[in-house]
Amino acid sequence: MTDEIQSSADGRAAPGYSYGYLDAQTKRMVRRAVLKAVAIPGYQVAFASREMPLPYGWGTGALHITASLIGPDDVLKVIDQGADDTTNAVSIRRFFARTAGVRTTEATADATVIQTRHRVPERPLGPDQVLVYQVPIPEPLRWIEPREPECRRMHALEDYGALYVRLYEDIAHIGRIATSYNYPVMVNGRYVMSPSPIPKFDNPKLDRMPALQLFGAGRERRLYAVPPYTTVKSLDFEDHPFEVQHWETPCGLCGATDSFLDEVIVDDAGGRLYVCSDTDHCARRRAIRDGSATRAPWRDDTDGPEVA
Amino acid sequence: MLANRARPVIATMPGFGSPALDEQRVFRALLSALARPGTRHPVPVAPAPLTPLGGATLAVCLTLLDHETPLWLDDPAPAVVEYLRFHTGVPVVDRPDRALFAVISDPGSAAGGPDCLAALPHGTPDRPELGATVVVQVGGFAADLPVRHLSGPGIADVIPLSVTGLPEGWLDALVATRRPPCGVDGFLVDATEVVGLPRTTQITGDVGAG
Repeated sequence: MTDEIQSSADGRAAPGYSYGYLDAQTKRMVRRAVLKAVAIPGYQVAFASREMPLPYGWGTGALHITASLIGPDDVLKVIDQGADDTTNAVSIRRFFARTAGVRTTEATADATVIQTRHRVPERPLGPDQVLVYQVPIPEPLRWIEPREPECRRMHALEDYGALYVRLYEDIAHIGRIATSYNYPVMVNGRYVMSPSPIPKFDNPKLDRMPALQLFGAGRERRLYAVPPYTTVKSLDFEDHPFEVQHWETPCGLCGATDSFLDEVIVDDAGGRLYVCSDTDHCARRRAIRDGSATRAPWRDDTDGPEVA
Repeated sequence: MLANRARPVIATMPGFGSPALDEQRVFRALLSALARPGTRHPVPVAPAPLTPLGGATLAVCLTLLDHETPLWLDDPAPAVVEYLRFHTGVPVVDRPDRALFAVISDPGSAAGGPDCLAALPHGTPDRPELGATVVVQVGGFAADLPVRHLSGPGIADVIPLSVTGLPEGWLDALVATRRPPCGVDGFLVDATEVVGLPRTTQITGDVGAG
């Protein structure tokens, strides 16, 4: 009840909700789990996942974390596969604009909290930013060892041999490691972690990132973290070092040669276009190229504070 | 008999003025502190101090504690116990090994000295998050004192830390709780600021005379 009064007193968040949607005790529980996750980089901390107003698989775990972090001073960006304008991203931005009264943005540089599904923004993140990943399956050993207690023991003993065998099997069968997304990483030299289903193109960005990275899995009720400046190494072999995807063509819209590209079918005759998956990155590059602005003003703060 | 028990009327001391927003702001300070060990983060809002705990320490308590977090106090002053029970519902335990949180008002005292850290839970290899969190009141973080050097996750290279009011051997006892991934995580709190010391932070170097 106290929370409700506050959120309406704050003026920007809609009345009738707890501030940030979750109740005070749930936020406290999630916050304690987040602190332990930060203290044990890469280790999956169990938390009590609550029912959220969107289904599992739509980012409920990250939503718990964002709701426990976010305050009136924050600026929130949400991306889904790199795009700011997909249904899921728009809905989650609107959700927090309504329940927490936060400002939202599509500009990576302006955001203090970025919730992401399956991409890391192309623009390097700074120390004042927090990146919150939506994670479907947090356990990197899940497809090797289905028993949860056994996975826990393997993590406790640093018994990751089976994971290397799995990567080696790819090499034995087809001559290279075929995993192209959700590529397992070793955090701080101790825990193997699922980076969530980001393309392996993004894996090098996790290493020693100045921003705090938090990962939330709502259905599996686990959250984990990578503190700033922490080593994150993609698993590989000396004779088969980790490498990322490359494209023959630059982005069809902005000409970028260094970003992750999506393939888009553009007509019925098999015509295709490769474009940046990070929509903010692409729009900004085009704005600079066209000389219209150093940034794309029409993309900033388009949602604005919203009152229901 | 229960009705006759004398209870201090201290529970009317106010907690946060605006709990949801104040807890959020204090939590963000704690999160930044733990994610960037050794750096000083102002505790943005604090209730009035209540001997022997300062306002910033109470703010940390109000932000993190509730009925799920057994708490051990080195100095369980009735006023403090009553205050925390009233505002958070926290169970106060009389043995450190049963606590998830410990709040040390005076690390120079017999109860709050280095020995209590060994008694706190350190977690187990398959449940390392059960290692306790210790919140310890220190004098301050003046820069002209014996310096320790910190490195590890959250620290770009190496950063210095100097603390007053923490007796010799206290940080060593904190380090001694660590059997990676197990260990005790710490928050050092002075009158207005908090510094995080997660179990991953390596503490090395010259302590000088102190």
